[in-house]
Amino acid sequence: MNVSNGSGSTWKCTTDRTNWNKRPHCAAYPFVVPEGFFDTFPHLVQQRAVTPKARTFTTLKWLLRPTIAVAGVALITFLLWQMPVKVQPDDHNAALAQDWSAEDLVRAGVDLRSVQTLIGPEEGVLDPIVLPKDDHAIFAYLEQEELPLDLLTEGL
Amino acid sequence: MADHGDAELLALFRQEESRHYAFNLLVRQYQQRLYAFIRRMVTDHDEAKDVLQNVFLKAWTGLDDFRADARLYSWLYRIAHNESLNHLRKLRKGIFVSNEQVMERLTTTLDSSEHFSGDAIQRKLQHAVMRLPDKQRAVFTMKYFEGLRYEDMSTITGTSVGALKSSYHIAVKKIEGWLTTDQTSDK
Repeated sequence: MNVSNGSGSTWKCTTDRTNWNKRPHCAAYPFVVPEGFFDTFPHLVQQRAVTPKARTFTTLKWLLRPTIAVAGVALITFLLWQMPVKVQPDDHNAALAQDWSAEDLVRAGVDLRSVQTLIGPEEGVLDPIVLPKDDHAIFAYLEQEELPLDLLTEGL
Repeated sequence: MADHGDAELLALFRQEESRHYAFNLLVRQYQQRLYAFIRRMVTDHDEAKDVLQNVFLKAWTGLDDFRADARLYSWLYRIAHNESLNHLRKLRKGIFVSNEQVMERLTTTLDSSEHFSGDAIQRKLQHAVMRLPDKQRAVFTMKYFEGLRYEDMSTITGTSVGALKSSYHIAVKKIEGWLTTDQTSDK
């Protein structure tokens, strides 16, 4: 078969494998081509070109892609909408959640003994306030700290 | 089979009654040359067949819009060039597929005796060509094996003649270097 090489000149190649090595171009061609491949190939291509099946599949594929994409986005949106919103603690809860010192609790009028009973002795809410043994020093401390005096009797 | 001119093929293709006949002529006229290029790019016969089929299927759908001022052969070669590069790109697409693995696959196919009938020198040269990056390999193949002119290659690849000359020159130097190194290490 005469084949144009696109630059004006022509050379010959045949589908017969024995002739591959006889042509200047084919001499350097070391790849094996199955016998009769170039005889059957045009029919194969033509069959594929005119078979609507492949083309329909391609069209379907292109139609399916955006459909799947839209469905995916809708599903994600639905799932996000369905997800429970994390409840933010209100100010009161937030205040309770804070790490209060015994002093803060006393200032806020909280009964430390009942707190101690509730949380157990090992937690030691009352521990931070260690009253000095000297009475005057105790009174001075309570006044300085503006703590109620009845704490003294309970503490002792 | 006699060669048919572009104008003749296109005229036949544009008539409904001779459309299939014209396409058959076109495939018969260009299949070997395009196959030769694609095969050098992808190595494996079955893969080359698939790529070549895609080239002609694209030609089938695009021939109606083909401009008469362009050359049919350059246009087909351009499709073949792009399809070959796309095919090689797809091979590398997998997350765990490295360039080395793809090169190994190509050279393994090449080393298989049922696919390659060349002598030791041709095999060595082909191995060296395999080591080139895809685009450079295409340039080298077109120039060295197919003997295309730079102007035609420019139309096919969409790259300037200067860039193609430079790419080819670098490819030749690389291959020379590899072949020399291999020869030295063989001794």
